[in-house]
Amino acid sequence: MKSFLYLLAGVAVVLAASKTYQINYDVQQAEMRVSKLLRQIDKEREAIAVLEVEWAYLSRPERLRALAFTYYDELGLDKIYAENFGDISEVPMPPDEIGQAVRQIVARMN
Amino acid sequence: MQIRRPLRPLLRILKARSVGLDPALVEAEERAARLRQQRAAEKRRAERRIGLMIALFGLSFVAVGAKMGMVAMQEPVEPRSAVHAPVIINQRANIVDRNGAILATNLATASLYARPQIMADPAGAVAGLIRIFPDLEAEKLEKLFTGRRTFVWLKPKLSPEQQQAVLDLGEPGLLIGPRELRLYPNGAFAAHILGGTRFGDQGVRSAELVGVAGVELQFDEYLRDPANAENPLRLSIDLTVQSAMRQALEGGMQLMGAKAAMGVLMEADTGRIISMVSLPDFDPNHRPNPPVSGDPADSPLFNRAAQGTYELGSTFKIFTAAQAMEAGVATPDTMLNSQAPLIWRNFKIRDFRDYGPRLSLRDVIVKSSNVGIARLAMGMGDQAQQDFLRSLGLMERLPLELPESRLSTPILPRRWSEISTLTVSYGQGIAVTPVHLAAAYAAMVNGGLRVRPTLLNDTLPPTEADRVISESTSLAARDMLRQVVVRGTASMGEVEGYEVGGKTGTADKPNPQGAYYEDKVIGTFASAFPMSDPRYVLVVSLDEPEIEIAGEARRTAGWTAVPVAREVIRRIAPLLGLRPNRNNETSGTSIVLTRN
Repeated sequence: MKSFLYLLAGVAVVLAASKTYQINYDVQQAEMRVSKLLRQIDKEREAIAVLEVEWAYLSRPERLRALAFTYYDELGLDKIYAENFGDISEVPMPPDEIGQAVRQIVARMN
Repeated sequence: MQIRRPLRPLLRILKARSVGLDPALVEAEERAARLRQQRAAEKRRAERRIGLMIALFGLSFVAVGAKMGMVAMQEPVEPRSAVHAPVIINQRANIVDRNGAILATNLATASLYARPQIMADPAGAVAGLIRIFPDLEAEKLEKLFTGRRTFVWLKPKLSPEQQQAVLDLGEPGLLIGPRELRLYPNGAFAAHILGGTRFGDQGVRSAELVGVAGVELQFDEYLRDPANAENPLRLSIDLTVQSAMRQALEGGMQLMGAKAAMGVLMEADTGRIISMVSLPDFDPNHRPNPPVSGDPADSPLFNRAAQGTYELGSTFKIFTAAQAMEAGVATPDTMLNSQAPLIWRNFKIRDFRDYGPRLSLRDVIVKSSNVGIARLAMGMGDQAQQDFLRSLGLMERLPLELPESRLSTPILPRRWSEISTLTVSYGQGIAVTPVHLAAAYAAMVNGGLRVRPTLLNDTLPPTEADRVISESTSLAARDMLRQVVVRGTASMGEVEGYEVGGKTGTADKPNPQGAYYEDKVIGTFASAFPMSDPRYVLVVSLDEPEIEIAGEARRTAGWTAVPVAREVIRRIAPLLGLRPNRNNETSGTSIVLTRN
């Protein structure tokens, strides 16, 4: 009976020890992964910052204006002036009930 | 388990007795057998234990040996208590516009320094550096590298290409330290608002960025606080509007041959500045050094819109008119004596042309009669005039969030005599910044509440406590300003659909002798739109404009500042999301131009 208990205790020690070791190694590995990820996050952040700067630089109004001017033939982009505003009443409506209803809503909005 | 054998088994005892043997012998025999058995068992157990011990020890030795082997073979690793903290990249907070577009941000870059003591080949390093940076001087470098100094800064900012080229030199004494660079991706476009930065205390690993002007200096503490690294400073500026206004002003400045141009666009109800341009300007990425000679007010660094004080001329007339209406002295229809010239002691006030003996107050504004408005101001006295201008903020320093504006106290008459009252009524003899004027106009048209100009997007709008004129006075002033555009001096300022209203001002420029130039003026158009419910105030000023039209050199604001302002409004009103009002009253057709 006694030796059985000893055996049990022995097995328990071995199991606990191996489990502890395993956890220890897992933690080390996890830490390594974390630091690697953090480094990666740093890098990504830096990249995002650079890309944001680049976006701001590339989409600066001065450049867009020059591009719109250069590619006017293809894009047809121009400055907005008051003449470019339309009115809902200028949109042709179908003559059926739906068109009627829309016209009424528009009339009420004005 | 063994069955225990008896020492005197009955069968063997009986058998021994029958043959006459001693039964004690049997017992002894049995005892001996039992003893043998016992010994054998004990031996077996001892052997097993010894074996176990050997095995355990063996195992332990193997384990220890294996661990030692592993330790011996592995790379040593520093024990760490915690994982490393992430490096903060954006040390200085960004500056963004009202919609969140980036106006100022940081970029990682590198700086170059040298440690001559560990330099392998100083002559080679000098040659290599000259090749990469043509602006460095060979002799200076040589002196630095062969002298006693142990540490030399060479370049504060390196491009990635330059960095690689320096590394390719392979010189151990040339070292590269990380740096953060303040970047203004839009270049010059809001230079005077943003200001600029420089490197403060610099170390090998990093350098402090310090604001030197503009909001960078004003909010330096906020921007530098690491707690705000993720909270950008939000300005009331609108990127697209600012850019469009700058372009329109630049074009107008060239067309009108002006020396400088400034423009301020402000929300009429809150005083938030949507756009502020002062031309000529500069690129804050390469902020020039302040000029060492000449007039600092001629430098591109000078913020004409918020720092430069100018006599803004007839734009002031509406203040006199509002003062009179508020005091109950006059209504828009009150007839005033406009007989020119007005002679006061040895001082003669003229009009651009003669407008006849009498004009209504409305027409005094519309035609811009100096004589009419001066007589009105004289009637009310100098104290009332000062009180009214003070209530509009025109006599105190600009409360704007710019360090430069702290230097811009309005220039007032040294002694507010009666002649001062006369000239101030039409904007000569008092010099304020265009931002002052814009804020005062906002109060004129927004229903009568004084606004405080601001560059931030989260300031509180004015309340009833800030009232300077009544609703009805404001309404009347709006009508007058609208009439100026419909049939007055600013008839070129009409933008169809946007109901522009405003007042022109052509002020003679003072010369250094204390008198006024004959042919140098500042043309200003202070306007608001749409006049039926004014939401924006725009002030455009041109410095020394002159344009030849119909064989005549024109300098008055109606010919110069007004068309430029018109172009600005035409461009920016749609950008502000303002729908044109198609069913407004007919626009004026007659072009009436007057001086002042």
